[in-house]
Amino acid sequence: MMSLTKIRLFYVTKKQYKYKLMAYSGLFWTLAAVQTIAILLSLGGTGGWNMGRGTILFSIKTLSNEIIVLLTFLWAFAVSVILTTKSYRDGDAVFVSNRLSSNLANGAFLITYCLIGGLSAVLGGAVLRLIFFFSTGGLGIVSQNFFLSPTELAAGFAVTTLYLLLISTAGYLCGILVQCSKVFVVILPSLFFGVLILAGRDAGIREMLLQAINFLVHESSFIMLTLKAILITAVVFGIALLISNRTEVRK
Amino acid sequence: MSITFAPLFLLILIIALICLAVYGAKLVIYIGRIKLGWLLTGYFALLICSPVVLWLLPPERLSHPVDATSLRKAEAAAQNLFPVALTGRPQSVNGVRTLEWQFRLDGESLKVESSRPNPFLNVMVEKTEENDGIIEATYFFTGAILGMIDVSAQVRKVEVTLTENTLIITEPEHYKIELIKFSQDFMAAQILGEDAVRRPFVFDLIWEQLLYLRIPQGVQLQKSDYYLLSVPLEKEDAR
Repeated sequence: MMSLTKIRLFYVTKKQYKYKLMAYSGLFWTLAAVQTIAILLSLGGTGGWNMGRGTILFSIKTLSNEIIVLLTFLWAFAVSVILTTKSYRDGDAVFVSNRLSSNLANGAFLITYCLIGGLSAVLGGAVLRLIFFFSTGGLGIVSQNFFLSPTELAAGFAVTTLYLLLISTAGYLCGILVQCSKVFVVILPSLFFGVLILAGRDAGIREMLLQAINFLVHESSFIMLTLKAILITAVVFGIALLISNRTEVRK
Repeated sequence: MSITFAPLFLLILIIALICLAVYGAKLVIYIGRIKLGWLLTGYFALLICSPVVLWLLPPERLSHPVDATSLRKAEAAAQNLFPVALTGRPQSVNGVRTLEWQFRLDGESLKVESSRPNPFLNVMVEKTEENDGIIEATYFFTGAILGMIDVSAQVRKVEVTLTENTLIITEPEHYKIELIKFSQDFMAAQILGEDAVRRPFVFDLIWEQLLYLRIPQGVQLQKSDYYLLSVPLEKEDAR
């Protein structure tokens, strides 16, 4: 017999998702703050080329939205970690829900944030171009790569969003692991630094790491990249779900 | 900063971002949602409008790369100027530009001085067969192409003056010619790849300059601020 209080998972997840969007809107502020900082940092250039000849210093300053994208990655990681913290989990208490619906709502929330983060990171590149154009009047700005085509914007948005999804899912798993056991507060950074140090010393480990990174970074087919990213995201998020459910049983 | 500290820097940055996210979100309550809403709306409106505004900008105000012919011509001129000048025929270099001065020297000695403590200019001296007291100074320079952009108009030229028996070369003070170049969005580049339509951008400088002096046969050159390169007589004869 169906209980009157039995609420469908989808309905609860949707309600929680909407609630999170409203309640955690402050995170948008952090995104704007992070990207503003990134745009300011990008003004100094991401690279350059100089040559002195006589009394003249010839210089080419290269600019890109790399810093904006990288800081957005860090933001996504940070946001996904804090979503698993107690203060944010307590927000779920306002609903009749379970851990699964809460995690699914978090997943949907992260997808939304990744979409917004991806779009804003790519558009940040356009803002950067405008800042330079209006501050110099266009003088000395090389026309090559200055104008962003709709294809470039769309491709940039899509790829950035995919990487944001991967990073935020990894962050979410880290957060869930820490919630599962505080030991991971020590283990995870140790693992991170340990792997980095080992990769620096051992060529074999470095090669293995590079192969893992290149599995995604060297993928030039958008469809394949999407499939790979979604597959990895699903697996990582699935692990996070399993661990999270196990945590609740323990408690 | 050493690369060793990069992971540490990354960790600090992540912690700072987490703190910013946690406390920044809580700060909403204190700032007031309405004001923050306007700020956020403004920020995202700016982001959304930026590509539209970007497409409306006049492309002619930007610096466009030179065509392959001009690039090759400037490159050849810059490569040939010095060796050809050593044979006494710098004016024969195709694509070279000149500034000329002519002075009458009273006396039989000449001193070449710089207005700067550390002169940079290459100065070549050719002794003419005549002894008419006329000093010809010709500043040869090629087009300046920095990273495929013609910056010749921004390059300041040298000035030559004669005071009694001293030829003073005034080189411009230190200055900077800077270009700003945007890279292709590295995220988009992963799936779009290198655009075949776009020519590769060359980070290089094509530019050469020298001052060529023609002085009368009988004039003696005094010790100079410059290393004066004499054009050998036999090559001069061959001309």
